[in-house]
Amino acid sequence: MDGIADYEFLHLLGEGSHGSVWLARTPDRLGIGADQVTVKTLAHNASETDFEHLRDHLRRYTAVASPRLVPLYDVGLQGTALYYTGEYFADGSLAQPARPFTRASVLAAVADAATAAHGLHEAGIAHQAIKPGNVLIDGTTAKLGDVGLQQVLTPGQTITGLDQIGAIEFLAPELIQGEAPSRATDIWALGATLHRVLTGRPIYPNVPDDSQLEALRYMLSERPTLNDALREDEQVVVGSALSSDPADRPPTALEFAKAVTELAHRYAQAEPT
Amino acid sequence: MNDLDLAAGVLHRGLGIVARWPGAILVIPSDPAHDQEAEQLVAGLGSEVQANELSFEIRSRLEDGRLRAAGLLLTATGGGLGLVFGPVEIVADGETALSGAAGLAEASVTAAERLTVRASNLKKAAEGVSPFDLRRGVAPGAGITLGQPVSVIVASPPVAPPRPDHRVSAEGPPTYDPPIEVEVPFIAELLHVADVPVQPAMALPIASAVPADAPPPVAPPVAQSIQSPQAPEQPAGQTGPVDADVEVMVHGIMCSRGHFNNPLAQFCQTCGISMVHVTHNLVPGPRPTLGFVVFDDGSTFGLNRSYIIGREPGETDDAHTAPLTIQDNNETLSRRHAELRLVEWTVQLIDLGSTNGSFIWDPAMEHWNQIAPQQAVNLTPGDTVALGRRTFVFESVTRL
Repeated sequence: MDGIADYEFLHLLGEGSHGSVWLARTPDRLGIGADQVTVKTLAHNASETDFEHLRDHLRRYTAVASPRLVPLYDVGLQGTALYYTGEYFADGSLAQPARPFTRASVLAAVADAATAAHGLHEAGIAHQAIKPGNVLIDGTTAKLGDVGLQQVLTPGQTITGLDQIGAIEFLAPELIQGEAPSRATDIWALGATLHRVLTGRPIYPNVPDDSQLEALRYMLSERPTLNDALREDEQVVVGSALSSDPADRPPTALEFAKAVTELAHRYAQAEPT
Repeated sequence: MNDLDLAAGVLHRGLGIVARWPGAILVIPSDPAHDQEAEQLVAGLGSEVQANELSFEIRSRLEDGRLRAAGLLLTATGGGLGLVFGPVEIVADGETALSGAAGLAEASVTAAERLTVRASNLKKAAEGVSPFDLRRGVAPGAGITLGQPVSVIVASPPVAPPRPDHRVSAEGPPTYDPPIEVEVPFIAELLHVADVPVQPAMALPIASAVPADAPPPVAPPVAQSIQSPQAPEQPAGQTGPVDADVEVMVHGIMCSRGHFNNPLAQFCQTCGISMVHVTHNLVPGPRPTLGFVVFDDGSTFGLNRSYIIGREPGETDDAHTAPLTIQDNNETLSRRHAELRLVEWTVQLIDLGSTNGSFIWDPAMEHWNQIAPQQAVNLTPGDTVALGRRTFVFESVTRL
């Protein structure tokens, strides 16, 4: 692909089960300062109805005035291809950081993402796609990437494909059992994200990785195993977010953010700068 | 226009089949019930065709209903002999020369610049000219334009200040017949403008714990464990920011901790406690999820609603049923292939009269049992189901 609508693609940033992410030149029409934007194209045989669903969905997201949410600019349909555009982050994400991060800055980034999730929750939106790759680094702060799109395009879908087996750790078990996405399911995802970025390890170390069905069965019958690389105070924060009973998790993402910020402060004091 | 066989052949995007041989162009619009037959027909014609035989073959298939629509152009210098039936038309230099909408039509067509054979029933959003030039062979597409090579460019956006709700090049009907430069239309709406009205937001409820020593409630507490009692209900009819599932009331039993369960459950679906000593008084309650289905590619769907499964299932008119679009590159799936229907505590599979049928694997006999169309069959947890060439496994969350 060379581009979509009036976006000229510069290079491919990544590909997922729903489509591709491109770096593109900013058209003047957007009226923003940045030279480059991220364009997500959705591999979907889309109709105008799909476009309208996506547009309304993204508008609710952009109406949440949180400085910790990735700004989105534009949504469109060309032929049967949907796309939408947002800010480009040269520093990458917590999954693929473009530069090394200290433990304190990783903690601060997860706290920022949790604060952003809280803003969405207060506006009635569950994010549903919190994971390290969706925590984008912007200088000294982090922003939470756009909300999960699979529910817009295919309602009822909890997991998108085999390439997602690694991602089931970010899925609260009650989602598989049919509960609606909620504050508590996002808080689980924040806890699993924090565990992953601090230890580099999944919370289900022995999950079968060749069959989605086996992985889901495993997840429904097993509790997460916290990695030893977590410090004791970190274990408490991660462990509470990963409680089986949603009511035992922190009541809001903001409370989780505060607890993580506290951990970050302890490191900032301990680490030489 | 000179020899049509030497002209560029610009493919039109869309469903259907476009075939081009020296001396002939064939366009078959997509029709789910006959797509496979059409593919076999075109594949069977090979790389060389004889004009008279091809014309006879297409005509006889249209007459006996094996083909529902087709456009055939036997090319000659500057034009050719056209035969159209169904939603297909031949356009010469931008003017419709021959249309099959009213029945079989046959005539000579001539063109100075461009000659197009195309499906005439496309939705606006689906149409468009591709950058592909088909000289010979078979390709997916909704039509083909013979003429000078064209270059495809993108509509240039206005430089004027952006307005919300503004459609770039939404005006001006897109043309099928490419001029030298073709505009591929697109719709774009800006998201970062402040004055776009958004539905008033309502915060998500905060999970509140049910005290562990609380007596078992009379009514099922499922709703309470997710929603605090103060949380206002979603107004009816409003599309909530979060997928608001419509609850279906069924009869079930309560575990000793007050979770609502399938009457047959041996262990509570929510907390895992044994149900053996529970008195089996049936009480009404909102049906919990009945499990999930995992497709062969790993995609997973929760059974908290019924689904119409297919290649293009379209909208459903029932709030408890969602369309489930499954990709199928071989087109072995029908548009609306099968339904997964939740009835009380069971999951039923219903074949919706699909072309290739729906099957349940019988592990004892080691073969696929085809189910009769339009008849509900109860699925058992662990059942593997085949729809066309796609398969899925049904997994229950009820602990029996």
